[in-house]
Amino acid sequence: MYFILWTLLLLVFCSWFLGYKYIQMHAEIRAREHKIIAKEARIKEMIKGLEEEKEKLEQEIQEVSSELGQMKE
Amino acid sequence: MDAWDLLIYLMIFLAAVVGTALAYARMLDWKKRNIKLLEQRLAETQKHYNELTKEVGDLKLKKNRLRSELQDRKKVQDMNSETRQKEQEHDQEWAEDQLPESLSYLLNKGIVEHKHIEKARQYLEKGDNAGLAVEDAMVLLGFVQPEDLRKAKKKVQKD
Repeated sequence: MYFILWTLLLLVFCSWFLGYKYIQMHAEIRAREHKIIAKEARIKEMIKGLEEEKEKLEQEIQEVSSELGQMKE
Repeated sequence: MDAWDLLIYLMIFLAAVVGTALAYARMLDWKKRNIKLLEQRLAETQKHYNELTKEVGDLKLKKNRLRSELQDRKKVQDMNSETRQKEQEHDQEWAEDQLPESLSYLLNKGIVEHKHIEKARQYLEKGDNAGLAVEDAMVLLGFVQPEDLRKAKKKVQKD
């Protein structure tokens, strides 16, 4: 009779342990995800700025090149 | 309770422990996989950013190079135009100072132009034409008619 009780207790303990660990890991992953997403968003913002700068630079280069071409002609 | 029951309970006990351990191991694996995926995503974004930074740096360098080239060319062009202008002024001064009176008369009358005199002068300088006068060279080159030149000379002598 006691063995049944001990086994049931063990099963309850195992389930509790696994559930607790699952929630803990899930929270950990979520926290990491938030951190990474924030970092990613910041980098994406910077990428956007860089792309705009790149476009502007390309335009300027084109203008200077055409001016140079005219001068060479 | 006999021995068989005891064995069965022990087996259940063992199975529960092993099952929990396996489940925990799988959970750990799942956590690692998730974090790896997230970090991979971040690394890709970071890589893209680095590439863009490099590209922008290259473009800035290129722009500066082109700008300096353009400025150099502009400077050279300005210098050339200044030099040309000075030469022209000098030539004109020369032409006006050293021109024979007959040619000055023709110039004033508008029969010949400065550029014709300049061409005649160049012709004299380049060729082996020692002793040839500028007005003769102009006649030779067809810039002025001998008749006009003769008239101009007569007019100058009279004056």
